[in-house]
Amino acid sequence: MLRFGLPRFVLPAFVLFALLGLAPAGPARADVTGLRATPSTISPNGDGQRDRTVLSWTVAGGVADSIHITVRRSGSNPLLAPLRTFLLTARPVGRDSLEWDGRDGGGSLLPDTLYSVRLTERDNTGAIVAEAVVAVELDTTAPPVPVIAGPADTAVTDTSYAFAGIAAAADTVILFRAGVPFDTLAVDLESQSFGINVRLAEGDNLLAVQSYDRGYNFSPQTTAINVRYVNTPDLASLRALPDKFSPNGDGILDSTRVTATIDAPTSRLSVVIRKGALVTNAEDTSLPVTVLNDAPAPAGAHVFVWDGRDSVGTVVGDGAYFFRVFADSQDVSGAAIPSRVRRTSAVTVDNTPPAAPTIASPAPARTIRGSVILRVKTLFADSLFTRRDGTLISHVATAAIATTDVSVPLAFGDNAITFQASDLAGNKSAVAGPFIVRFETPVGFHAPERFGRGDAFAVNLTAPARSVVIELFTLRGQPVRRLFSSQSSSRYELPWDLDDDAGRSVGDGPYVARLRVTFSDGSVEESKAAVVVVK
Amino acid sequence: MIGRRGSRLVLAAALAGTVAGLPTPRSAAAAPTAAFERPGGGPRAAAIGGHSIVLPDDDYALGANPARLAFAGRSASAQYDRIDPAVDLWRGRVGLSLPIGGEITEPLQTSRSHRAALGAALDVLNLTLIEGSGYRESAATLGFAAAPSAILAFGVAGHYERATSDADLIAAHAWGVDVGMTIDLADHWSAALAVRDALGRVTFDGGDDEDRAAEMTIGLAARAHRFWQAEADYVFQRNTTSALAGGVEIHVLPGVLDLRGGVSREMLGPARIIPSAGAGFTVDHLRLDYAYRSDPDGGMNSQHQVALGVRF
Repeated sequence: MLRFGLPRFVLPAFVLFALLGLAPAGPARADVTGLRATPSTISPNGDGQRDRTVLSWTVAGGVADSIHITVRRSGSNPLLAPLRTFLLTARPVGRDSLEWDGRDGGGSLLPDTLYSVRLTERDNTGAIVAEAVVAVELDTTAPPVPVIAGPADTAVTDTSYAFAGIAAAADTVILFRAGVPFDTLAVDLESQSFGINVRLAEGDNLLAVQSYDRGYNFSPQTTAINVRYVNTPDLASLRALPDKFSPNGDGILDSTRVTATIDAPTSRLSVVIRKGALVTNAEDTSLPVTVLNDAPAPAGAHVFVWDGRDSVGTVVGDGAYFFRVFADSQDVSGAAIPSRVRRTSAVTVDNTPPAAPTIASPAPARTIRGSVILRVKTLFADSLFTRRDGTLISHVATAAIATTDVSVPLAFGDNAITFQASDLAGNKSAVAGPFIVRFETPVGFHAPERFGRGDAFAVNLTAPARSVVIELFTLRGQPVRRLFSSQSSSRYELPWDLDDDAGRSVGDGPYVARLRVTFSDGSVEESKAAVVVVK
Repeated sequence: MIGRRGSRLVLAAALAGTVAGLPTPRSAAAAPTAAFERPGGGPRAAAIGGHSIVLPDDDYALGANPARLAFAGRSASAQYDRIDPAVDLWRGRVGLSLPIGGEITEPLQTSRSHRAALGAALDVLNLTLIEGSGYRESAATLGFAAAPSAILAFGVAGHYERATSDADLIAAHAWGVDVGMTIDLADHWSAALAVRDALGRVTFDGGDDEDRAAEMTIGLAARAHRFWQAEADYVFQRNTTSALAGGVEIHVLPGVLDLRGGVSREMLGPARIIPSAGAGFTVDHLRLDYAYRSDPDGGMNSQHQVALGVRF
């Protein structure tokens, strides 16, 4: 080797590179992969639907010198001459394709059967480099006319019709209504059947079907059958509103109403009121109260109002009642059929007003804050109305048995606060109150003596101050909390969250508050007061 | 055979063991009440630091350390504390102690001890609230002490309290139990341990049921008979050291005039120093005690306590 004058390391390096797969590359070799025929079934009958297939493949790694594509009948002797041959040379890298129209080399249409398409890539020496085969089926035979199951013409009262049949040698059927296609279905290849629930329009529905196979060979359309839909009254579900009412003549929720909607005329629309609980599957123990309607009715919505009276005009007692509604149906000939569907909706008659609200703790006679929070108890009420001097302040929803904290904004001077409860049936309780709360801002150091969460110390001065500090101590002198305001004002409000300076909640009990007011001229005034914390 | 000195060492060891085994007072996380907090011990204890539990030898032992009732003899007292006139804060108290067992004082023992003793007291506190309403706390306390020997005693006291007010919706009731023990370690040394409100609850009407903050005090006292006596106290509350206190009583005219002085370092919240001083005058069986405390950082500049007691 050294005789060729190569350096000593060339050979070992070449061996090493070869072993590592890094040896210098030779000329690029083409590789053909991914042969496909799209579609794989064609019907070259000149109808424009699947008359030819596209054979496609991918050339990679370099230009393919020579590609041979041959078509033979599937299963035929490969030594015989192919029916069709394509010879392609110097095919570039990338996806490549050609079309085959189902004809042989002489231009004659080949018969329906399965064909084998073979692609062979050869190099410049004629050696086979790559090979692939796909199958292409020629099918120019249309499937037979489908057969529709069931009678040719029929009348039904349901809007849904089971449309089914047999579509031999087909893959898909097209459904027609009055000659217009409206749906396609896949045919079950094993049973060759199809089926669908068709939603019918009122009146005649001319239904027909046509099938086709994978080669897009279409069968003739069947003769249409006529399915006549006869609409009969169906009663929609109903709901009485309000479901609680108080027929006491006070103008508030004195009646309830229900809307019965039928989609076709009926010979009998019955609306009755019965007393008792709604009947499910148990024995009906309800008692008839009154009949609101028992007569033919046209299609549409019908509103029935019940004013809480029985058949002789007496207001019924409190309790549970329900509407029971049904509409007779009819058959396809128009004969009446007693309704099997009875719709119900429960209502409650409640003429009993809720108890008057009470306040859990007495309202303060006077306060130094601009609002007061009152804890109000209600019983069997759904709403609580709060009025101040006759003006509605708030309207809040409450539970049946509830204690509600109501914040009432106050005006200067005396405030007359009243409460009234109401229930869902519109019954109003007696008015509770008035509770008189006087709002004033007297000069001095003030706070609620029973100091709770949300309360504040108020400092009202005759002259503006520079800052105020309130220090809180236990009765044994333990410092608890320091409250501070550096705003210049003559009126301060310092809330205490009942936490100490370390952020821990303080215990209930008496606390001494030492107030230090620093005025603009630097003078300081000090005073003390005591409160009792009750959380 | 264990001698007298040896038996006291055994008792001291028992005391230390008891201290170590005491339950930890309840934590402050439960927001213990601020109501019904009464300093015990009267003017004499207030003048020597305010936390004395070893030296009380009269009916004030009931509030300071019920075990000391065994060393109280027959005594009664009436007390008035003027705490803060700005909020009309004052306290009043009457108390009584009665030995119910035989005297077991040993020869040369400077304190007189009885086998068992009872104590009772009524306390009131008055406070005027911010809008002028009155607020009052009252308590009735009953205690019992038993002394297994002349140098060792145990005691327990129970108290029931009520709070009332002219203001609407301010009322409370409470109960508590105090326990304590005391021991003479040597001829001139004594020690004691007391837990105030070891058990107890407070309930304000409309409020939550709250714990009372248990307060454990360990005290050590030394005395030179007819000359002086002094005490140092360590107070533990809310899982932390809450106070260190100490004071001395000098018998200027033995049996007639005592002068007292003390200081307390209160450590709950910002630490503050409270100096105290006082005097006691004894005439025959009557004794008049006075104490002064100044706590400006605690919002109470000058506090005066005066009590009249009698031994019978």
